[in-house]
Amino acid sequence: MTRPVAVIGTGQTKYVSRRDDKNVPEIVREAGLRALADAGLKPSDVDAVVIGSAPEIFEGVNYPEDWIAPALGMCPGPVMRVHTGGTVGAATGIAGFYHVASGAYDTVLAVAYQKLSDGVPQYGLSACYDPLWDRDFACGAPALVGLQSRQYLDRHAPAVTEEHGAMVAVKNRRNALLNPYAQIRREITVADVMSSPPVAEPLKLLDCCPTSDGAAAMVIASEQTARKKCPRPAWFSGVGTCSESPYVPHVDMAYPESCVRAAQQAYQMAWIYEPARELDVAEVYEAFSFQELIWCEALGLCRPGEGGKLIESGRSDLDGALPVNTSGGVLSSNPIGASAMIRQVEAAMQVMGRAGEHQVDGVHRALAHSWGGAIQFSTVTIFSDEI
Amino acid sequence: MALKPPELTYMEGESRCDYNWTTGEVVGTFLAALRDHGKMLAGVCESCGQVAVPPTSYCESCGSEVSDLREVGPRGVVMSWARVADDFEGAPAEAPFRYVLVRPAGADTELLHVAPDDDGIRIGATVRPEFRPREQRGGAITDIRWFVPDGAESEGS
Amino acid sequence: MIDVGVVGWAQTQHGTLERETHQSLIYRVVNEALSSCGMSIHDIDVVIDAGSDFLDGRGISTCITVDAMGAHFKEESKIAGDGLLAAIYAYMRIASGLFDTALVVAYGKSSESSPRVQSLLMTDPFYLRPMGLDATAAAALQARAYMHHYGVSEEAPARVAVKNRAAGATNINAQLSSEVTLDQVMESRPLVSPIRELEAAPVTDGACAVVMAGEEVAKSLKVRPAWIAGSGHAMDAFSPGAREIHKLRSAALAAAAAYKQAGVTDPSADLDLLEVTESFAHQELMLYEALGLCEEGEGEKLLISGATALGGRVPVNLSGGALCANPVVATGLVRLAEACARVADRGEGDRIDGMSKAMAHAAGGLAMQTAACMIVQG
Repeated sequence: MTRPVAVIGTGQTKYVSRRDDKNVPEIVREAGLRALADAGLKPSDVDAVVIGSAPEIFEGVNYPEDWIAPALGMCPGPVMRVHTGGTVGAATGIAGFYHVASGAYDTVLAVAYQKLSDGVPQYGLSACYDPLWDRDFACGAPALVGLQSRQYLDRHAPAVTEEHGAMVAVKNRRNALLNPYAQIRREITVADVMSSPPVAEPLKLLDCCPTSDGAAAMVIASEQTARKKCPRPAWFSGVGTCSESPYVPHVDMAYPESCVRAAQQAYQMAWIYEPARELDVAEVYEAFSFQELIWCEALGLCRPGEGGKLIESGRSDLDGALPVNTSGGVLSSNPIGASAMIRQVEAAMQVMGRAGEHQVDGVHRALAHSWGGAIQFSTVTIFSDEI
Repeated sequence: MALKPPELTYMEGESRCDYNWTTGEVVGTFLAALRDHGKMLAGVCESCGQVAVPPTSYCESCGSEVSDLREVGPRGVVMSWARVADDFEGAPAEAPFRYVLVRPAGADTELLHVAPDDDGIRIGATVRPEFRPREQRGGAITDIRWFVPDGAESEGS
Repeated sequence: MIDVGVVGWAQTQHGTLERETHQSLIYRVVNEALSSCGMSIHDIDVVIDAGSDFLDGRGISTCITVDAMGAHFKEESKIAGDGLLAAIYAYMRIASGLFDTALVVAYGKSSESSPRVQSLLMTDPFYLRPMGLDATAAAALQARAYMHHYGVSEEAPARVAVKNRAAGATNINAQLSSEVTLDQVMESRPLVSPIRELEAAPVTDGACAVVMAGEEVAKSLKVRPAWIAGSGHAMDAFSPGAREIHKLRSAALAAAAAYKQAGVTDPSADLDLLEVTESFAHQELMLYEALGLCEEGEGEKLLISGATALGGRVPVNLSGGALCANPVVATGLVRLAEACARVADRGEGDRIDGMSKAMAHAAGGLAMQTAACMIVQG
């Protein structure tokens, strides 16, 4: 086992398609200072910073942490940047966890950000493909997830249909109305989704996430500091990450092995045997609607093939037995490098009782999930209200 | 069958992306002051009082807020310089030229810019900014053409 | 407090490696590092790697390197900085008690693009980018400020280059393996004055891998580890004009943290070797001071005394340093591998009798804005 470590404060910026008022370091500072304020701390109370963001080509600055981290007010001081693709926000929170769990630092600020509007997001995504093999015909993320979604639907037809994806989008957009940070706060219907323009079959426009500017931050602390500063810390109870080789024919995108393994690792650490029963709320990284169902199955929140049943039953609704994406999810806000940390932040907020209007009652354990790369990286973080 | 080493050991490619960076208020105000007034503004830290140029909205020394801007210079002192002999793509001046770190009067930090390859550009020398003509300024750090030894004849643009 | 040891290490022969891909470099170096301690990839609990997207010309560089490093279905995370930072993170993973072993991998092929453009992109879009400032220009401004402030002679950086090139001549992995004379360095082509060509690191392709293990596993292996005695990392202000550019504050802070953990109170006496990242020769002089080997401003004096050469009181860069091979991203991890090789008692040629404590240093950012240090003990 390891030392008890907790999240004692969180901060987010309001997600928008373009922040016209602040540059990248200033947006990061905004989230960082909010997290510190939430924790009742000052920059000088922090021992180290971990910062994360997705490919540097999005903002066009190499080693961007050198430019950005000083805005957090803790330089000179230890700063490390994590970059693991789509999972980076969570990998940043996880690195922060290890900074404290190792005994090396007592209080760490973990921040993840992205300012997609400064560059050309789809170009940045296409640049992820190998120039030797795929870049000539790459078309960003929707194509890959379209493939994933089609694989998933075909495998489980007729139990899961395109309408089930639409229901996820409807649920999450409705949830976003209760999240003041969410970018898209506009209710939609299943008919709206089904009739929206096609993007990459079976994905239609309203099945897809937006691109956003924004940042999220967490203050991560040792037991001693957590007990002193926080009435209800969100203890890291399970942490798992897993990476898989990228060769698409090998990856079972409809039930990704890396997700199953990361979850197993986290559940083992958290002593969770029946996640569907023992978890109170979950935040999963659904950049595209069908992914919410795919992740719920791979995470064991429902049985394989029963994603359609899950969304139909209302179990994952805000007032259901296991609410999923009460924040509105990635479908409502997507500053790529921060999105995975937002899942952790939202899960931690639920445990801490600080989720405001979208707070679920009686949350003891919350799960945050993320994915990245060519559906090859997965992380699972579980927070608990007790050590 | 023995394999021949491949002839195609390299594949050329290019990565080129366009950007539209949000400056934020403080940087934006500094750049606008260069363009509209031919003045250099510095940020004054509300906590430690450091006067930093070019300004950022956060103090790089103590981490506090910086919202107050004040004019500095125009003259300044060369704190370091380095000579570039060869031209390169995107160079800020025609080679040979010098990079300089200039501390404008009233500031606590140095501004990075360029200067002519002139013996008058040495550590401790006083320099002043030569701005481009108003119609050539676009609200960029390059609205200052370069820093010249104070008292030097302008070479004309 | 869990003791963590570096149990295996390997590096590629550095150079312009035209027939190597990222994957081939990584695959080879990982296998060699594992062999060096008699472990297999299946014994590795977590892989922490370091890479640069811009350098690779690909977004999320780990997407296609993750299998070459053996991280398929493993815990894996990438640090976007020098490999020594990845080593520090790997150390944290084991020290947490949740992992017994870790593999650290770092790599870079600078020959595939323009190193100048790589460093040019490190600038902020508003104040430095339009000035076309690159790593050499930033280092040159720092060199002149340092030399002027302390009255350092023009030959001093050149003497560092002579010392390190002589050391590199005996290092089979070094890219530059021939000695140079003081005259040759002084007469070499100016890059951005005062920096001359032979005072700057070469353009290098290379990779390095290091295996770490917690106490129990480390002690069960047939090879003796190099125990991690302390580490630290630090970042200074971004704007070159907002720092005291004639000093290396980040290096001083990183070292101070490592020294405190390792119980080092007098570095020049307590350390038997330092492997530092001197991409530009004058930086080694600045590091002597920042790392506490001598007083402020006395770097040249220390160099001339011979104390930092082979056989001296506190040798620095017996590998030849970055001046002989600079596989960007991997450079700091190579320093760690070199330090471990000298102090771990393995009955091999690399170890030097009497050496037991060594420190590896990595630098990052323009004009060494950031630093990382790790102390290992045989």
